Amino acid sequence: MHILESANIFTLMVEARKLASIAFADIAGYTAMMQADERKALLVLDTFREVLESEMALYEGEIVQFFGDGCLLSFDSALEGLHVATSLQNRFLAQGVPVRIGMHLGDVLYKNNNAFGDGVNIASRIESLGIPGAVLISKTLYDQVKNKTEFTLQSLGAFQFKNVADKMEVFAVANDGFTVPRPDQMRGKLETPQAPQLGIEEQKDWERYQLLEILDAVDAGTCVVILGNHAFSRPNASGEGEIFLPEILRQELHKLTGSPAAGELADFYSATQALTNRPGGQHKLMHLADIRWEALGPKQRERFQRISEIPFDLILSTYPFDLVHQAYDAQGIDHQSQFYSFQSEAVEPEPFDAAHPLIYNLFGSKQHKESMVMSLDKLYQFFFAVLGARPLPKLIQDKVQQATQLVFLGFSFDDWYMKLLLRVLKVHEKDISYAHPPGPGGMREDNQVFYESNFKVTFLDRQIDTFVAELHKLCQDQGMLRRPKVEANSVYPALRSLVAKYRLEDAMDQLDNLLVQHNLDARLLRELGDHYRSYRLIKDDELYQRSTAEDLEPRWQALCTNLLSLIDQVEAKHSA
Amino acid sequence: MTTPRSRYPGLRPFDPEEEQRFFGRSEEIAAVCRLLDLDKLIVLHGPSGMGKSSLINAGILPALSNLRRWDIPFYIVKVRFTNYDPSLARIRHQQLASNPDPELVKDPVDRFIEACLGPKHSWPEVLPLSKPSFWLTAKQVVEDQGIHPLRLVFVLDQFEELFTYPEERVNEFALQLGELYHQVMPEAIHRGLARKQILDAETPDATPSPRVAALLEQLDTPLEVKMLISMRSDKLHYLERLKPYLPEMMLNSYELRSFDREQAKRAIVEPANLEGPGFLSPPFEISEPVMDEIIDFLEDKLTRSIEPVQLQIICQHLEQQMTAKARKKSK
Repeated sequence: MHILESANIFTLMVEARKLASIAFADIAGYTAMMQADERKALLVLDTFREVLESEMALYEGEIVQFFGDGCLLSFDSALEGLHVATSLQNRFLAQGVPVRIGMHLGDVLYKNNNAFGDGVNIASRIESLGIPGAVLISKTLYDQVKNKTEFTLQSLGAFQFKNVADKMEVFAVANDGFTVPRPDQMRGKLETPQAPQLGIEEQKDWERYQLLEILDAVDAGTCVVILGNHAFSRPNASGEGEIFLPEILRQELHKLTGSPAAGELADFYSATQALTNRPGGQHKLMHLADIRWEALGPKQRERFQRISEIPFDLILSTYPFDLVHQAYDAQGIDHQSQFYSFQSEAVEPEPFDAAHPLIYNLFGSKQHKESMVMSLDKLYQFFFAVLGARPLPKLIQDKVQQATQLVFLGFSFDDWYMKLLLRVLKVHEKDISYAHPPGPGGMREDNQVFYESNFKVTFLDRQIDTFVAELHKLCQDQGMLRRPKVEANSVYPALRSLVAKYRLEDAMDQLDNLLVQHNLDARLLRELGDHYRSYRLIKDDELYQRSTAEDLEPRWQALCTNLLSLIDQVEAKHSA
Repeated sequence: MTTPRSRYPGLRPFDPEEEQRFFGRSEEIAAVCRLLDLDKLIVLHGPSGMGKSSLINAGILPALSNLRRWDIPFYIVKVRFTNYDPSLARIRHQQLASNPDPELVKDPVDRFIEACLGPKHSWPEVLPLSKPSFWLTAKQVVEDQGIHPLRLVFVLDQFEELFTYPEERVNEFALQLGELYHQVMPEAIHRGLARKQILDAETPDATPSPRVAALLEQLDTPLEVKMLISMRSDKLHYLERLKPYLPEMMLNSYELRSFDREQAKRAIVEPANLEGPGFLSPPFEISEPVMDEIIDFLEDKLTRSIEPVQLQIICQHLEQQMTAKARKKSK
């Protein structure tokens, strides 16, 4: 999984237990190959699979799983495994398929046709160190096969792999025809201190590789974006720069208390709580925090326009206002907008996909003030509910579980509740890597240790707008960008159709929304109030069978007629 | 107490005035009260005839007030649900076609509000709402009592009967109960306030009644609510239907079980010994062998338990015999 912090990224991957020798094989640079020549790339992928399947049929081994351009193999015997790996690499070399193979002998947990555990992780780390034509093995596997004369094995040195406690020596098969990587060719999933040792160009390559992985996930519908409060900003007073939401609130708090420290020390929700506790603070907070689409500058608009065009199918947001929804609307992009509420009726969203994405506000919605999480008190209530009796909707839980990439945009990972939020999303069960935030906003060391030991996270170094722009460009190159849906204002026809379907309560509720939202007319509102009352009276008689169906029918008809006439009046008023 | 009553109520549940003659349930009373101290919503359940209503009326509610366990004043609202049989209701309505009886079927939402505010309640006067609101009703109760803060204890007895009503109203009831449980001002009230603003703008000079003005002023403060729900164990699965609205419903429950021999003994002996006016019979004693015989007769040989309702019936009969005997003697 990849996570992107306030201004920045991450990466994440996703029962009989036994000791097995595990091999990872994948096509090097496959995503770039796809971009350059899709047809050729698909042919290469076909060859890769054919070779694997035909070769594995000859040996005592198992293809555990194919995933995209890679494959996970498992063998009971270390020697047999190495035989197969070298034989496979020989055939890949002969057919011109650029494959890297990494192997390890370790504990493996098999569950649901999948393999997990340290053995798998280390094999993957070793494979990531390789280059096309190489077969790399761990010291553990080396110890099992070192006395066999048919293999020439050459040490590449010891490496500190990410999330692996001790350094581990890695060997390369150096038989004729096999490639042995030079030290400067070896990158891969190493512990972060190793990363800066890469040259600027290589670092860029690596980050580009991570972006391509995210692109693949977006394409496959396995990427979920989570937006935090640091993703929302408006132009500052001078109009030249921009000011992000937490800073807006901090400044306000500073103005009210006169103490600069109060603003700096507080995390977002402590600051909002402090604001809420002051007389008139609640109102002020709502006013300040509600950044409207109309108030955005070109820079912020571009950020959300791009996000809306990248075909994410699920956007989770901790910002309880409508900005993302407005951005999608402004772009004319079809979507549904839902929110979590820790105290009202649990609502399952409709199924969603790239063509009909879901924007889900985790922290409630302005439309339902009771649901908004904008203070510490509410934050506690949220976590209490979501980790207790009211979990997130099943569709969302499933999506996050199946995601291979979680992209966090606009979070400060130093905020205490991030740990809980990751748990709510159940990412604690996944292997995450993520990118380091730049500048003084960087993470505290103890937090970094916490995330790395509990969530296996590594940060990438990216500003939110840079990241969004790059991913947007990649999608554009692939022709993946979303096209706006052109549709006329459909509110009133939809209302009439609700009436026609006898969904009168829904129609009245939506009409009420319109009237209140646009502050249209007291007379119309009163009329609607009368309709609500007659609805209840007729409904009572129907539910408790006080009247026969024949007697009820004309009363229902009359109510429908009245409602349709009210809809006409509201539409006329609205368009005026 | 005006008319003298039996020491044992027999088939009907104990009522709150009979606290003094309610015995054998001290542990259960303490346990339920403790749960109520700790949590907002408790489901008390047990088979039919286990004495749930008696426990509430003559045990829990008096215990709450006597012990002064809470540091804030409280007010109890009791709602007892009754069965709704649609076919019966239809027939009665046909019989009363010229003059239908609105009391015949008491919609559960109306019943709740009536229990709070009395029969002459009117929900739209305070705020223009599209539906009745328990939350606003509760606010009205607090305002009517004139005590701030005031904790409201809602006791919903025979809750299983709620589910005999049309599903639509059960769902509405659940939604309203959920809003009440969460104490914070629900969205419906926010919307009502927004509507009110628009309507008020039309008549800027109109002043609301003092009662409404006072209520509106208190609207922002959260409610203090406890709920005790009592229902039959064999109908517990109905609670599943409330889950979308109030999943917290399933968090805390207490099972009321039948008497063991010791409890049964207390429930038989103690009321008989009570002195004072208000009883149909003079105080009397029950000898050990008679007691053992009664208990042996009542005891389920398999589970070694005694059903409270059977015990009450037997004891009431016993008391009647004693009274007759005393009367004969005096003659």
